[in-house]
Amino acid sequence: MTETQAPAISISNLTKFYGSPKGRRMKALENVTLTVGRGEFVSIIGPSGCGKTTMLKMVGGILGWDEGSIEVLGKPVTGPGPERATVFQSFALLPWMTVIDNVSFGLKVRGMAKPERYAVARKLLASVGLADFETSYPRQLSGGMQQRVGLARALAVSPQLLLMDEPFSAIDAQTRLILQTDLLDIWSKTDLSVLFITHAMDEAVFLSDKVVIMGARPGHVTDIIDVDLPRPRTEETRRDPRFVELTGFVWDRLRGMIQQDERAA
Amino acid sequence: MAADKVKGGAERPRWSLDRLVETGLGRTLVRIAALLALIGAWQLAGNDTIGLLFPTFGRTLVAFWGLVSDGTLQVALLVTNQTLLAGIIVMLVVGIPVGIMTARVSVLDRIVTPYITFLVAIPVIALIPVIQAILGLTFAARVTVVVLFGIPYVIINTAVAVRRVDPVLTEMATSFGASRLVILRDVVLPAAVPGIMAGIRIALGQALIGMVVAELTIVGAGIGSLIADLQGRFRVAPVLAIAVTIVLEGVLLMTIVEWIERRLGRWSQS
Repeated sequence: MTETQAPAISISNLTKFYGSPKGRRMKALENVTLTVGRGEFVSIIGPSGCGKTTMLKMVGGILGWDEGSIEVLGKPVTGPGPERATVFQSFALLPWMTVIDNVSFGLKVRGMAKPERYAVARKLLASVGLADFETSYPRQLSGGMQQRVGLARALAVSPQLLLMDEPFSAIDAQTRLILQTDLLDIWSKTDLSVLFITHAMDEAVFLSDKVVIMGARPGHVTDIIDVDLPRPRTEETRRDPRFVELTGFVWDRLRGMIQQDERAA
Repeated sequence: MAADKVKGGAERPRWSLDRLVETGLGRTLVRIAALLALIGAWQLAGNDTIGLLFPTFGRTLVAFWGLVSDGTLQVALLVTNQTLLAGIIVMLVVGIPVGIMTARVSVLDRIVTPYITFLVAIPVIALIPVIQAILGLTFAARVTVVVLFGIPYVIINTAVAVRRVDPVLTEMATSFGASRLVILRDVVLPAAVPGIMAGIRIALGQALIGMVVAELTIVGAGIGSLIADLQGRFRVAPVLAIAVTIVLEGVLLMTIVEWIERRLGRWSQS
């Protein structure tokens, strides 16, 4: 397979242990195998403690693992890389910087001069609908707007792969639906591949080409569901019987796991 | 009846102290009134007839003018503040980097922290004979006392502020490929500024105390020797005038720090 044809992410037999204080090793992930194709939107959903965020950090190159391999665009992951960018659950904006400085932070780290990085940042702020807020500070914005800044910051470094760690879970339910359609809108205009972590069934189904369901203790993949809903997805999609059916299926799988877990506890 | 009172919350009395302090002018008026009351009480409590008794405000003011008009106070203040300024500079230039390094390098934490805890736990005054034995009655000795009074608070607060930086922010910077140095400069330090400034504020108060203590115990210069001299001649009013001057300097110092804090940390106040 040549490099250009390699999938965006290729995870095989990934295993991770966590060391406990008494030297007993806890298995966090066991034999996870998963592929994200070029331009594909893949969501991972699972109960808390299934290691989905841990896995995203490994793909991001900020956390190591014990066995198996992760390749991004055909190259083994050894650390963070310019082709990947992350959007964080708690936004992770720098509160002392204005919106435009936050958006251009990644470019600054990569050594781009101020006028150039501001020009890029302005374009992205416009694309997420925040053109009028470049001199605002994060605390002056609502949660939804702060995450738009987080998204613009990730997109500013022109990544090929977007890693999103429960990006909308700290945002109110209505704003969340709007952010979902806006995200799809931005994504459809690019050739970005997305790995999206969530715990909301409807969000996973609405956004994705593929939903990966994970179980806990240790984290493992239980199901991979192909979402055959047509694109572009709109508000109509949410009322589509197939959408309801798929969401229901995901819930059934998760509910079984969570109930089993609670009985065991 | 209780319910009536609760409802009454909407229409408060037209005139009350609470309402007065809601406006800027009101607050200023209240402050001036309190100050005048204090001065009035001082004037009434003091005694003008016998020099050894607690002097009135008026006599203190006259004594103050006496010290200022022949330049004694200005010279003493100049000498004393050289010690304070040198002490503050050493305190910050050494304290902040040490604080940052103790937070980031665990070996250093083990080496430095016990001594800092020791400095906070014991009265620094107890160390003055040791300092005097090593450095003598010198400027360096006085500066050392000032530094020892203040530096533990700079180090401890800096270390705590650096440790408390949200790990998600450093994770974010790492994900964009930032080096440790860039993370320190662009993420950790700016995030720690409010905590560091809080430490500096406490340390300056302590340094001011250290300054006076140094000059009263390691006799030889400035305000301290002036106080000792006047005390020896039982001149209570000028001593009191100097004490008030030191208090005013403390207040001025705190005001400056608070102003800097507000400028640097505007983002941290929501």
